[in-house]
Amino acid sequence: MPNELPPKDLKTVWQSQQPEATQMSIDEIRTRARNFDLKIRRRNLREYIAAALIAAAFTFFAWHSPSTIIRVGHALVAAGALYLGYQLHRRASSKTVPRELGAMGCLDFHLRQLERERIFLDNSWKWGIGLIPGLIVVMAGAIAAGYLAKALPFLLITCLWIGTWLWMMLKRNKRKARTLQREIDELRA
Amino acid sequence: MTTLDVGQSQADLYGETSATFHAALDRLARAYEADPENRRDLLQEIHLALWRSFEGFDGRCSLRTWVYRVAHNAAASHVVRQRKNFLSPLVSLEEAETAADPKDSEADADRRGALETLLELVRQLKPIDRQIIVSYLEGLDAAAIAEITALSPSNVATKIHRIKSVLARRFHEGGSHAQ
Repeated sequence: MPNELPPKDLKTVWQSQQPEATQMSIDEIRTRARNFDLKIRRRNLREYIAAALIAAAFTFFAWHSPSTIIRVGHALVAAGALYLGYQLHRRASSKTVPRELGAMGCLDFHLRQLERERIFLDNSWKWGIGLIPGLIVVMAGAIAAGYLAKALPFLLITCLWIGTWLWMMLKRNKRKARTLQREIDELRA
Repeated sequence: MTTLDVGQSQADLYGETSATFHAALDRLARAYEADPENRRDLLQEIHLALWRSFEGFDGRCSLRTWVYRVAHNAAASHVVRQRKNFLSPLVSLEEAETAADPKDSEADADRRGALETLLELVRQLKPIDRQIIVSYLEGLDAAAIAEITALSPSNVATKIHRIKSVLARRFHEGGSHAQ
């Protein structure tokens, strides 16, 4: 039977697999590398521009709002957007340098990758925290000024729903972070 | 083992790697990805990682060690990304060793063949164990695997022993055959 091969023969079975893909030429790999770099740069730029636009828009609103509370709220959202941009920049800067893939042994590389993922999950609450206080203050200011009196029940239900969803997401991330930490500890043992 | 000249250009190093390790890298991608479409993407990702890594190649290790490290590390990143998408859980060699044989393994054997059974086992392992088993199947010795993985040679030797035991059990042979 084909599954009764001893392990020594499995090496032969393994090595006899025929390649599926054709080899890439130097020009092809150069083009792909250029396209890849361009894609990453564009993605980062898009994220920074989005954060800068949000910050600029809310600074404008803060400047022109009639109510002091709403003005403070808008300023907080603008600051939060800048903080989000900073977090995105930090995340992009911590990406793996290509040389590290070959300079680091697989265990060290994998440990670092798991550690990075754990930190990201552990700190996921920081991503939203930049924008949420400002939005809450804006909403409180709008309610106080009587702008949202009719829509208040709907807003409260929406906030409760979003809050529950965020809380569940954070709990899930924390649980995943703990699982990763256990895996890291096992690998280090 | 492949000899190298540190002064070789990125293009030379990639050309040499592509010619020497093309088939091995193809097999390595199969160990990490079952879906043919995703596997093609992974293989391209590995080649891209190799090309970019050669900018920083300093010759402190052999070209073979460098190539396998880059390929395994890039592929392990792929596994970590996949796991984020709630795919099936991975097991360690120790867990694979003590786990019960799949009930349908014998019935499926004829249909799937040795290679499919082997790939199925390899793909369910955690990255480090997968790196060791693939290196073992590629014919690398414990010292070479230790250099690639950064595990101690004794640890690698222990894991290879376990690999043989798991393989022997999965293929319904006694441990004595697994030499």
